[in-house]
Amino acid sequence: MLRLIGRRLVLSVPLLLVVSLSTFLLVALIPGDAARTIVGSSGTQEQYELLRDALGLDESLPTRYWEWLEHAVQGDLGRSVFGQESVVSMLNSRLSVTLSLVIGSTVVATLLGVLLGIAGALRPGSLGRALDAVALLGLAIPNFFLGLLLVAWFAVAIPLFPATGYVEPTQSIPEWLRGLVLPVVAIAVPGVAVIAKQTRDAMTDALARPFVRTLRACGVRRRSIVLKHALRSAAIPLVTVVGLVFVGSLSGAVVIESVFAMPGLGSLAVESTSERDLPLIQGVAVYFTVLVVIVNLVVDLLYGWIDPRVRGS
Amino acid sequence: MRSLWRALGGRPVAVGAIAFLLALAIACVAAPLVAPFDPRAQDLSKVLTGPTLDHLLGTDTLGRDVLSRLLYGGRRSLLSMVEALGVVLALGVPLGLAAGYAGGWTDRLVSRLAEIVLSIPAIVLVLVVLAVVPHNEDAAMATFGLLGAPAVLRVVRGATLAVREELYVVAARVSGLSHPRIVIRHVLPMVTGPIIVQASVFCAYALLFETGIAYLGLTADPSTPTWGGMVAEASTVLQQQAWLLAPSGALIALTILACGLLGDAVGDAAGAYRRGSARDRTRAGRRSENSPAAHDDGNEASAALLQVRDLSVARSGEDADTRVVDRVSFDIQPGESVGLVGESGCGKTVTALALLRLLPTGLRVTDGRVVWDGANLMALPDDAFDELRGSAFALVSQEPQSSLDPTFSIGSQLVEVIRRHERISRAAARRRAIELLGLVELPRPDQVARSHAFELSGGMAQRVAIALALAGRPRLLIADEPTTALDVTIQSEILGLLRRLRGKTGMAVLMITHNWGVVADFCDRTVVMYAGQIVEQAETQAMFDLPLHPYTSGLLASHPSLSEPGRDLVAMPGRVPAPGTWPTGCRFAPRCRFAREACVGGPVALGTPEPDRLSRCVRVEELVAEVSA
Amino acid sequence: MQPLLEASELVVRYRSGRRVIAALDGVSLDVHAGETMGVVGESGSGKSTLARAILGLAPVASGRVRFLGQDVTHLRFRKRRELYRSVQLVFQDPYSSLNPSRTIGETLAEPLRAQGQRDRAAIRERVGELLERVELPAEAMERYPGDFSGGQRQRIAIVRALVLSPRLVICDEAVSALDLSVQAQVLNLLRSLQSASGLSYLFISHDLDVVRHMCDRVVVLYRGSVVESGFTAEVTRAPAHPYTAALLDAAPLPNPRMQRSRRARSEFLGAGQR
Repeated sequence: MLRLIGRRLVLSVPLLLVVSLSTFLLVALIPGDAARTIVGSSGTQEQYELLRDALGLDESLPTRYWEWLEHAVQGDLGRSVFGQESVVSMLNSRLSVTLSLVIGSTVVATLLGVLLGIAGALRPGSLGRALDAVALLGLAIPNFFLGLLLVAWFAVAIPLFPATGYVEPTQSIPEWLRGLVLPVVAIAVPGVAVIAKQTRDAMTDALARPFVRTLRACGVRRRSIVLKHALRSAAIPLVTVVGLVFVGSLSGAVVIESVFAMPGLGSLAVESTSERDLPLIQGVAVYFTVLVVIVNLVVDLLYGWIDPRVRGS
Repeated sequence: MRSLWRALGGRPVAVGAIAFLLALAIACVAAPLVAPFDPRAQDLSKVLTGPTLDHLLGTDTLGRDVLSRLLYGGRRSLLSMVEALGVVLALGVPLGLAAGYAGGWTDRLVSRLAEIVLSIPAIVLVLVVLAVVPHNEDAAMATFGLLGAPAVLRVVRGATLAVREELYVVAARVSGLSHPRIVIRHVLPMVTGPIIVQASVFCAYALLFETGIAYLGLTADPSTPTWGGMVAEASTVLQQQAWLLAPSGALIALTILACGLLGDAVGDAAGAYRRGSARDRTRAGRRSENSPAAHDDGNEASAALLQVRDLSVARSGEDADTRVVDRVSFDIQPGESVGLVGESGCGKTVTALALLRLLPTGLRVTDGRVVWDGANLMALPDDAFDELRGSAFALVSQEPQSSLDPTFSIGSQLVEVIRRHERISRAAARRRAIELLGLVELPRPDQVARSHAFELSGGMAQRVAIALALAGRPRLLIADEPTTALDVTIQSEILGLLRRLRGKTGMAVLMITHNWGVVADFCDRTVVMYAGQIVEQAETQAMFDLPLHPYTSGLLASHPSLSEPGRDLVAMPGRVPAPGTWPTGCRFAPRCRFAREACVGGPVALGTPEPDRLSRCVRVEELVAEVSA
Repeated sequence: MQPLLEASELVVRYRSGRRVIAALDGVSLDVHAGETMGVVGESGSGKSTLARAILGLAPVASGRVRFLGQDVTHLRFRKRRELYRSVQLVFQDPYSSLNPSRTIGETLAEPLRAQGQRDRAAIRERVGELLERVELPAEAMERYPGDFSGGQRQRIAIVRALVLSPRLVICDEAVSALDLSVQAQVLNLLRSLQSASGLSYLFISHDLDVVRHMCDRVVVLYRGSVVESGFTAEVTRAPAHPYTAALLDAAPLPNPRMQRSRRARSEFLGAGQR
């Protein structure tokens, strides 16, 4: 088990380095005076100087990167060019929004997807085909379009849920949940489709394995075989897919936060991209990567818990 | 590859998807010729109209024609898709092939890199790129392709590995083919299917992505038509003109759907083609297809433990059913060991599965009675029959390790089966599990109970499978080729174990095998099957001393242990007829050197040439006379 | 007389996780022209690795393989291709050894084309001739492997091995996957091909009865080492090594009386495997 965690951590370090380094390299690609280009003609001299300083354009690339790294491991990701605030504090204040969205949609997608997948595996034929069709549709509708439709139907036409905004759970849990429903649905739909299909395929595979026949021949009941044995075997590929759905939800959150005007990391990323606020977008990149690392670690651990072959002996 | 296209042609969904995508591509590429209006031409007098004759899809907030904007926007979206796909294929395919085929450090290096790149959350890196080079959609999509390449690489690598393991690749090497030529001739054709599937799926994701960043306004200024941008624009006027959302949103969804459908269809076609005939699946959840119209219960007072009468099994086909097992009848006495012998395709395993009502889908019992303890099993409802499995009869199969659930420990599987048949506590069940493992002569049973299937050798796993079968204290053990997959020294151990278990528990054994040595060693009585029928039945010693059917005697004579040094084996010509091609007369006649007119005229019934012996041969007496002479 | 094939102290190692396993640990044997040499072993004995090592498909850590006196252990591509004109291989699995998406004709032409033969007519003639030799119709060339039974596919695999007119054919469990009646047919075929052309076989199998029937001499492998070798008749009549004796004892004979007496003897001697 420790070996698993160790291995994942060892892989994560190069990942973080690759991501952070790529962002630096990309900035170095900006032709001419990067600070001038970003600030443009509309910016003030003060902003220009601050940006120059922030980007460390007076020093060489390796020095810049090393300094950034030094600060980063101490928890300092620099300052936003246009807001002057610490990147880390800006990101932290928005973390709960994005986490609520992403964790919420992954949980919803997993629960619904697994249920639909099991149903599809047990009743192939009409239900299976219906599942296929729904899954395809769920993946085809772009999430921003779906979000807009949900707003049009359930926030504007029938004012069940708020169209925009976010309420902290510390302020009011019912309002927090109410505000999450539509965006979570918009993000979760493709996830449900992927998980349902994967569950159905994995369950069908598991039910076709020889050990199922052995257990049935020993008299084990169908219910136990499906819910205990087949599900556990199917869980192995499923866990990987759930991890992928989580990462996909991060992507989804970027767009959906803009659709629903939620103050999360995603909408911050979009704003900072159009404003070319490089330290900020770099900070978001680092945060997202850390989230991915944590998810991959959890997936590995679950893997090891479910599949004894991975644990070794 | 040709067959792949043919298979696709037969699927209307795939054809529709391809047609749609082609039509869309052509329309968008030809936009300057096809579009009715200039996409940027504003007409403030006709703002936000719905569909009209002039503007088939309406106008937007600045009076621009929606249809024209969609066509021009499509050029951008499709171009982006192609760009990203190009990067993905250019990187993923060669690297995947190299990693899968070469293996070793190439594989390790490429796989590590791929793992790292795959973990990068694509959207943020693309956003960084867009922050650095604003509105540069080409750079953004190229980056997306770069980050998506590892997914395709993985699939290509997997498919390549699978092909590399095939013996025909080794054969190609031994023919003298160089590695590059092997990759092109043998690997690539097999990998093309998965590549197309991945490419279609990737196109779908690329489009989703591209429209997403366009929606966010990160790729172009508002006057340039993009599908995503049009959705964004429509969202601002939802209350005034809800229609505006429809054309762009629907078109995006349809295009993505078409890509997805294409990917699915190719996947199906390639998969089915590779797998050949349909896979057998045991559906644990389905209602049993094993009970035909109920016959009267066998009220025959008989000492036999199991009586099989006229059991027939057929495979459901497109036009008609093909019989696979044809009116098989035999008895098993308590404590007896009966061998069911035959070559592949004779129907012996299907017979055993039919007895247990565990036939895979596609096969069903069409006729016959199976009487156990006076009750006709075929007429029992499912839950009643479930009670009998494991407690009345049990099964041991061929491949020991795959007979055990790899995710649970041996002990927990045993406990589950034990508690299924006896109402005892967990602790008591655990004790009985250890007892059972000791009964099958495993050293250190407590250690085995804690271990998992993959940690056991073949012989140990088979002992565990036997322990599982014995957990319910069955009176009949059905052993389907239990030693075929094991080494010969282990085989003799397992057979010895089964013999001792019979002595201790008094259970009967139905031993299904193709190995005459096993029959000679283990079975009191032998039943020989050929082409779905029983052709001979006798006490084992009697059958070996004097087989009363040309097939049996032919098989025994062709055994290599009976060969004379320097002489050929006595081989029977021809091969076993497949189900569906059975001749109407004696099924063995085409290969039989004693065949006469009488043999091929009509079906041959089982006769009793001598007491306690059955034979399906009309010329038995002459056969015996010839041998005795 | 110089042996056709000579393997001396072959060592092949594999890494499994962190351990190093010797699949072959110093195996030596030879095959003379026109003879059938048997290799008997169970799983893990290294018998398949031996076939691959001889053909250069497995990494030989130490030891030598000599063909007609020439060292062929580590050859470059061109020389190895030349070797394949003289040494060929028939595999165990008739379902995996033929590419399902290529016709029989294409598969059988492959060795000839790989060796540089371009004349289509000549290729067709050779393939047709060999197909008839194994009692398959020449039209089989247009069909796909899926149309044939296991026994027929194995005949096709034998044709592929013979199409380059090799001197030595390695049969790696070539009949193990076949039914008894088909096995007899294929074994007879192998013998007739041998007597017609002076072919030599290296016959690898786990089935002692088959080896006893087919092979003049035999080598017994256990966990990568040769534990016994000699003339088949002697080795099977009076095995010198306990493993060979155990193998002979364990293989059940199709003779109930003999099996009973064997069992009685082993129980009496207390030689049960408990």
